[in-house]
Amino acid sequence: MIYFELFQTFFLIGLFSFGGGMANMELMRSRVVAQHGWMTTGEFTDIISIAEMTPGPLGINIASFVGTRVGGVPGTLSATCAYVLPSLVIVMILAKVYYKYRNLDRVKGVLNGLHPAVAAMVLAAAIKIVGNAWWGGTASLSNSNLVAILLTLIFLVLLQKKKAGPVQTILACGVIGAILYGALGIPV
Amino acid sequence: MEASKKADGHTLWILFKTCFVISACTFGGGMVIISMLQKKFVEELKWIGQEEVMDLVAIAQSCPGVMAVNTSIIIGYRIAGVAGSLITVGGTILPPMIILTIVSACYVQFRQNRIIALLLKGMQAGVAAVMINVTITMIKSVIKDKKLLSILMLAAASVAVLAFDVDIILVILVCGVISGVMS
Repeated sequence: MIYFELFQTFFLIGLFSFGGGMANMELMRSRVVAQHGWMTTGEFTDIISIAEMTPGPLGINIASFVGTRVGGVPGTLSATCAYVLPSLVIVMILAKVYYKYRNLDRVKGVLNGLHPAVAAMVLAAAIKIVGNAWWGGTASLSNSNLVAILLTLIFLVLLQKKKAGPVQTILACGVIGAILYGALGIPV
Repeated sequence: MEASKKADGHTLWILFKTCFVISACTFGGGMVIISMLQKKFVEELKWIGQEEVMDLVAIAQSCPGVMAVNTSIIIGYRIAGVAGSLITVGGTILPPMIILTIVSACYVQFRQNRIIALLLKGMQAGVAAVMINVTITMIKSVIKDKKLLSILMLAAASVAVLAFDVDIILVILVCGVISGVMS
């Protein structure tokens, strides 16, 4: 039953999504691409681009996209609702605790301890996505995409030094990349 | 004390409308949505105090899931109880659900267009740059704390995920248990 599978997958993703936005992309990718094969890493990167261009939070956008892809409108409903269900329950429980004791130090302690795990996940996602953008899967010198490598490095410097925003970065790379790939006749 | 909760139709409608409009019109992700919600409920409607909302946002940020959604859940709960949080979460997730359902349904045809395909291929390099940037920021913040345990956990978690393909959920659970025991 595909709807149940979507529900179960996105419930787990929702339950273990710490650190927000990009931090959870590897958890998503590991389930959606590696485990279920619902799409490729390249398609997954496309969705991150599309999700950054459309309104609303990244995680919801991806859950909705994958849900529709796999199971149409009922698929979207089960994926997206399953994704927010753990948050709904946990946020309400913590809100109750907060209004009762006005103290959340213990919870905060545990959650701060998750920072190293979140950083490791982002690192893993970055390696997969960079590998796909630069080599299109298997890394080797001959199939390196020099345009992508240059764009990534230039915009990484702009993000770090000039505080460029992620949306502007992705848009600018899209336009410059499209012109270069088109001019150089690189197949897409 | 928990402030008065009014789950009347008018309040619920305002909650839904506000979350729906903010979610539908806000580009650029979580933090922008959170600041729009604060502006509306604290400054305009004055339904929640400034200090209280800071605590609520802190709770929302420490829960798993999407920060913007969590913030809307906790604001709905604070104003109108469980019904309020169901209404606000619905209002927040509906616009992206509708938009992405349409995008997803058109993706295959959309991807076959040569210009779109070129743009998306270019954007992959941008997403790569954004991912490297987030990675650097997060690793820096772990190292900056100068806690040996955190740095060891970062190294061990990275090796586990990258070299041994250990499931991420297991890594999160182990890190959570270790920090729970140590704190």
